[in-house]
Amino acid sequence: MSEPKKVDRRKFIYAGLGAVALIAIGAAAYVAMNPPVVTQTVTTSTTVPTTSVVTTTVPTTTVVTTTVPTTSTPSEKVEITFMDWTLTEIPFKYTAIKMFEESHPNIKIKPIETPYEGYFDKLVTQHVAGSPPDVFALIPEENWKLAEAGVQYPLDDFIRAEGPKFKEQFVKAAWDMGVWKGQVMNLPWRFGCSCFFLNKKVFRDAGVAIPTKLESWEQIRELAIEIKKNSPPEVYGIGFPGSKTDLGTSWFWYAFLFQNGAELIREDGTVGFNTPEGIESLQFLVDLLRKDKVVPPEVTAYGDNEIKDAFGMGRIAMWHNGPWMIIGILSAHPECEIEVRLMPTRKRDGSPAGGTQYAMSPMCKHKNEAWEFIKFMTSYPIISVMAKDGIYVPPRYDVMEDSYFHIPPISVFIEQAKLPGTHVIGNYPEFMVISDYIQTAQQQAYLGQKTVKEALAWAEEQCNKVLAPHYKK
Amino acid sequence: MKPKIKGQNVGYIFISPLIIYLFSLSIYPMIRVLYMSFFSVQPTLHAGEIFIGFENYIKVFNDPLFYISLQNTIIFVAGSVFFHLLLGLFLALLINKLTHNLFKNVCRTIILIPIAITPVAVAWMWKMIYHPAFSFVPLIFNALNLDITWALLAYPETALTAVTITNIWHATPYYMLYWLAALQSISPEIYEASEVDGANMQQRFRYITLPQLKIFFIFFACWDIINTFMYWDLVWVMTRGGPGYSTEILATYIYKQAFQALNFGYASALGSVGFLVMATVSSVLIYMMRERG
Repeated sequence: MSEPKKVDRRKFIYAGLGAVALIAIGAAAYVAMNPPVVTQTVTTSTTVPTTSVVTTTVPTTTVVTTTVPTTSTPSEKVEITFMDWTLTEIPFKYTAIKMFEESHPNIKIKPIETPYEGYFDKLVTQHVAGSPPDVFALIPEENWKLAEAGVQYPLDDFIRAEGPKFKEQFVKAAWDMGVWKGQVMNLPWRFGCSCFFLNKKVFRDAGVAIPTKLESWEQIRELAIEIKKNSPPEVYGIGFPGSKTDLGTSWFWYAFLFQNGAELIREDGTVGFNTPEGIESLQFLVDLLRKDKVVPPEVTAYGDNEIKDAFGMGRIAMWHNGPWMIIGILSAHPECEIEVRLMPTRKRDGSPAGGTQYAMSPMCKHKNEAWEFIKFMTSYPIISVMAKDGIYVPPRYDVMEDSYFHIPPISVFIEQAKLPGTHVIGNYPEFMVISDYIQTAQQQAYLGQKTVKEALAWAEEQCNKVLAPHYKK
Repeated sequence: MKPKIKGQNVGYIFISPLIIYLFSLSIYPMIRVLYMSFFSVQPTLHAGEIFIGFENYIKVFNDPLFYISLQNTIIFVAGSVFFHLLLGLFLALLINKLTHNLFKNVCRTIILIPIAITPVAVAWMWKMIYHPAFSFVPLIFNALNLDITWALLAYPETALTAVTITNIWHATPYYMLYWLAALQSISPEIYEASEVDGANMQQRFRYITLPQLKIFFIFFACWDIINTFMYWDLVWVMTRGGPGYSTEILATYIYKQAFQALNFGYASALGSVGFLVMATVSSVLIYMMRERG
């Protein structure tokens, strides 16, 4: 009778460890392909209009009636994946998702919260891998690139089916954020433009009266000089970013570029900033920094976040940016007293604008249902709550009529947004590449490495090279 | 009759997870990048991949920004590696000298704190340390009545040095650990014999410690060069390659080409050339290592 075969204990353990390692790798791969969904139980006492019939007279004298659908025709149950970086920032969105699911019992929304850092890298990678989210948030700076890369699905057919008045509900500048070569690629849910922030305490301590209106560049310069003269050494009259760590550096300059009558990108795809008007606008900022010395001298160390904190701390008296910055300033510096003023004018009014939109993936298997979700999330009741929560300009005229938006500071941003010189920036090809060249040119001018003329000439050459293939006939 | 599994074949089962990992996360991506470098892969201009031969490589060698980023990378790597190894050895010698176990462990733990912090957090922390308005350093200068401008990241002349210092702070503890292990591999009997022969501390260090550590030096240098060459996090968070292009390294330039310009073909060519440069340097060091046995 043969002896039972002995199992070597050591080999058995090693084999077991190998199996465990294989299982762990498989599990990790599975989790990577199916990230856990963060669900939040949100208790909110926000009053949300469940139905809304709003009759609004819009500037084109068209009467628009907006009705939120409260029922949907039941059909096959589908799941729509929804990726956004603001789900934690705006918890109301989870409530909105629940509301949508209640009114559309056949549609389940699977929210995917992804941090903003690396968001678009992840989106592009998912698209290339063939598993993008059905609906996703984006910014106008990424619109062109994502449209050209086929990451977005055009919404024109859906919009046409809604009728001719659908488009007229939206602020034109906000609507234009999603347009690519005449096609509408997404709908706006957040919008805003720049206005000037004035730190009341800094003005008060310097004994300078806060102007009721900013009339001109010369007035800004005089105010900045006066404040600098009457303030401690660490306080400056005006601040602007000069770092490349975010897009604030170029955003700040664009306001003055537009006010001086220049363009960023012309219709023919060539840049419009290397003109006498463009040079003069950047020279104004360089003079504030290097001649008048009313700007923190280490400007290239400041991004938008640093300027925001410096403003909140009372180190800077004036700065311009969008309404989304106000919450950030007040959450870190609740004692900060902010006055908001319309942008000054020169040859015309001008302010950079931006926002956030919702788009659909061409790989979405349930496009009708995805469209219903996008339409819902950009409808009157949802936008009216989100705009109030987040202090931003609603992209819809009917929401703007709400009395909440007639009170400063938001009313100032709305007034600025309606002006013809408010330009959405970012909806151009190669926007991030162009921004890198422009911000490099700005840094060279701020540091005195090149004159403004030389810096902008270099940037023009680089940008035109990059833009040319996109505008070939 | 059941076939017996030979003893040596069982080893392949044990190493299969590592092989799968290496192939899927290292070898296949390298092959794929090399493949893409011969194609135009620009989803914003055209669909699919268009074979263009060596055009991407010709563009690389005619691109002034490639040379700027390569130069910055070499400075960044050289400065980082030099101080990683030197400071790491210095700290390891200090720790190794301590006799009180508890004090030794406490010192080692404190020195190891930087490596417990993620690179992005390190970058943000040092960005604030270098900032003229938010750092404690200008407060110290003011208290000492020193009129020194503290804004290392704001000026092209100092930005790359500042980023390199941050990298040195973050990664030196790794090399302290490596050197400590190397020092502890030297037999204590050699030192005892040298003490009997009357050698002093400097002589022991020069004639015993250093020769024993030479082979480790080459290995650590090779390892550090490879790791630092493609380091991206610190520069991206702290400066994004600015001011101007003073901190633009190859890793950030490749990233911009791939994920901002969506020019995957060109980014692959840049990566391939960078790999070639790194492989050449590493090969020379490995050759030197072999020469010394």
